Amino acid sequence: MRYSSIDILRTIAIVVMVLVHFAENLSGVHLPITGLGAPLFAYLSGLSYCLWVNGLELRGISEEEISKRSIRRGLFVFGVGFAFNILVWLPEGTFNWDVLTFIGSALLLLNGLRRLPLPIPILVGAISILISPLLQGMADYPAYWVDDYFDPDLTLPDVLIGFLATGYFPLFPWLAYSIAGLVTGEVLLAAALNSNIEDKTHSNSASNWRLVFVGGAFMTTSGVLLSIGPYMPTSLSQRLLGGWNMFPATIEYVLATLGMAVFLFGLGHQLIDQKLEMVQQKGWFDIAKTFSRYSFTIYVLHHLIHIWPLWIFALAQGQETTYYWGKAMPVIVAVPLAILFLICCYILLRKIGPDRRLGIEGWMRWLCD
Amino acid sequence: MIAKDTLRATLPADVRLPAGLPNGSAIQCIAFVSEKNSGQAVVLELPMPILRYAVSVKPDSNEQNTLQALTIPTNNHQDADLQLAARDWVAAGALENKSPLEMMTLQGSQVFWTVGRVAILAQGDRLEAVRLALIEAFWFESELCDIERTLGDAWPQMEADLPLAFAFNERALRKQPQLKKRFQQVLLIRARLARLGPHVHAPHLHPPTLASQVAERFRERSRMLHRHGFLEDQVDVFEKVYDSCGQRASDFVQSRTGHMLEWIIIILLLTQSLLWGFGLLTSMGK
Repeated sequence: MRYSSIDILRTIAIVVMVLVHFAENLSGVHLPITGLGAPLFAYLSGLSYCLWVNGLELRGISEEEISKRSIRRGLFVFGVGFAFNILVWLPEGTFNWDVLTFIGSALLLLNGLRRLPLPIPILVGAISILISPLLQGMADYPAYWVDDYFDPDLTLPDVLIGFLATGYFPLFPWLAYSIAGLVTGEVLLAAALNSNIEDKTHSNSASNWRLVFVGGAFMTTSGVLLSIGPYMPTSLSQRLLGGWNMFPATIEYVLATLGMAVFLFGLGHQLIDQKLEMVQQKGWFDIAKTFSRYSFTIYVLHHLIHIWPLWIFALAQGQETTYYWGKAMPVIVAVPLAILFLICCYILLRKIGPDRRLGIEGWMRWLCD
Repeated sequence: MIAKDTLRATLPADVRLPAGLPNGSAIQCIAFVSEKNSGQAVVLELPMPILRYAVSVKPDSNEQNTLQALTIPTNNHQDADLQLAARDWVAAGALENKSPLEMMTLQGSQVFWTVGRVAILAQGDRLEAVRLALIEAFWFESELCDIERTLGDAWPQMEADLPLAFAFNERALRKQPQLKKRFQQVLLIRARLARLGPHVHAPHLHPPTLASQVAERFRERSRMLHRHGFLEDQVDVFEKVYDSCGQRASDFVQSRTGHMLEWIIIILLLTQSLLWGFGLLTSMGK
C-alpha cells in the first residue's frame, strides 16, 4: 500500500534535511527550519514499517519470515549508519549515533512492539519521552557536548550512554517518533478495514481528522509548556522541560515535532490520498514519488557530496580535515548549492526511474527480503 | 462481503402490451415492499412470517425486485397466436436478464415465466387466483435466488476468514468488527431461510385447486425444495466458521485484557531496570 501523502512528507523531510545540512556544515548557519526534517523522517519510518508489514501479511508471508526480514532490515540500516558515520564523519565519529543508527535500532524494536496490544507501544512511546530528561540529567548531558557537537570518549559506558540518551539521535526520546508512526499505521489500517463495512469515506475521514486533532493537541501542549515553562518551579522546568531544543530533544520539542508529523500526515491522508487519481496526474506527485523512493540514498549521498570536498580540500591545503567545516562559504552560496544538488538528484533519479530498485534501498531489498 | 437487498431482477425495458391480445389483457408491475405506503395498491399480503406486501407500481418505478405479470383471459389456452404473443413477451425479459424461459400447462391454463416476468393464459374467472399464486411463488423463488447469490459472493471472503476460526491474534483484532458484521449477516440469512422453509416445504394442498397446483408446479419446476436444502447446508458452514471466529475473538479479547496488565507491569519494570542500569553506566562514564 503506497500513500502519496507519505511520499510528499518524506520528500519534504529530505529537502529540509538537505537544506539544513548544507547551510550548517558549509556555512555554520542554522536555518529556521532546522530540527523539522529528522522528526518527520523518523515518524515516517515507523509508519512505512507498519504498512510494509501489512503488505507482507496480505501476501501471505509467515510471521516468522516477516520477523526475519524486519531484523535483517533493522541490522542493515544500523550497519549502513555505522558505515556512514565512519565514511562521512571519519572514524572518530563512529559512535555519534546519527539518524540511521537510530532508525535501524527502532526497526528492531518495532518488530517486537508491532505484535503487542496497541496501548503497550503507546505506553512505551510515552515513557521514552518522559524518561529522556531524567536520563539526560543522570548522564550530565552537557558533559558529552563540546562546542555544540557530540564528543564522547571511546569507552563502552560512554558509547552506550550516547546510544541511549546523549548522542545526536539517541533511542530516548527519538523512539517515540517511530512508535507514533507505527501506531498511526495501525489506526489507519483498522479504519481502512472497517470502512469496507459501512461508508468508506466517512470512516477514513473520521480517523484522519482524529489524527489531525491528536497532532494539533500535541502541538498545543508543547506551546502551553513553552509558555508556562519560565513560570514553573525551577526543579521542574530545568529537569523535565528545557525549552525549544533539538540537542537534547526536550519534551516541548518532541511534542511539537511529533504533533507536526501526525498533523501533517492526517491532513495529507485526508486531502491527498482520498483523491488519488487527481493527485497522480500532477507533476509534483512524480517528484515526490522519486524523492521518496530514494530518500535513504539521497540522505547518504548529500552528505558525501558536501562533506567530502571539505575534508579533501582541507587535507590538500595541509589543514586539519575539519578546518573548513561550517566556514567554507556564506549561506547565500550554500543554500543554492543545496537546491542545485536536489535538482541534479531529481534529474538523475528520473533517468533511473522511480520503479527501479537501485541505490541503498535496492541493496536493502536484495539483501534483506 | 455479504450484500443485502441486491438487485434480483431488473425491470425489462419493454413493458408495452403486445398487439392482438383479447380485451381484459393487462400487464401489472408488482414490487415487493416491507411497508405499504398509503398511495400503493396492495395486490397481495405475503403469508406470515414473510412480512412483505406485493404492491402495484408503475412500469417506470425504481423499485427493486419487481415482477411484471401479463394476464390474458382466454377460454382456449392452446391458441397459437396468444401463446406466441405471451411467449415472445416473456422471452424479451429472459433475453434481457439472461435467464431461461420456462412454461407449464395445467388444467386449461398456460404459464410462461422467467426472472422478473410471467405471462398467464387462463379463463377469466381463474386468472386472478393463478396470478396471485404465481406472485407468491415468485417471491419465494426470488428470495432463494438472492440468498444463493449472496452466499455465492461470500464464499471467498469466508475462506479468507477461515484461519481466524482456529487462532486469533493481535493483528486480527482490527478485523473483529467485520467478523461481527459477517456473523450477523449469516444469522440474517439463516432467518430468511427459516421464514421461507414452511412455504417451500409445505405439503401439497388437498383438495387441490388450480392456483395451489400452479404454485406447487412452480415450486417443483424451480427446484425450490432442493435448493432450500442446499442453502441450509451452506449456511451451516458459514455459521460454523463465523461462530468459531467469534468464539476465538472473544477468548482472545478476554485474555488480552489480562495480558495488557502484565505487559504494563513488564514495561514499568523494564523502565526501572533501564534507569538502574543507566545509573550504573553514568557512574562509570564521564
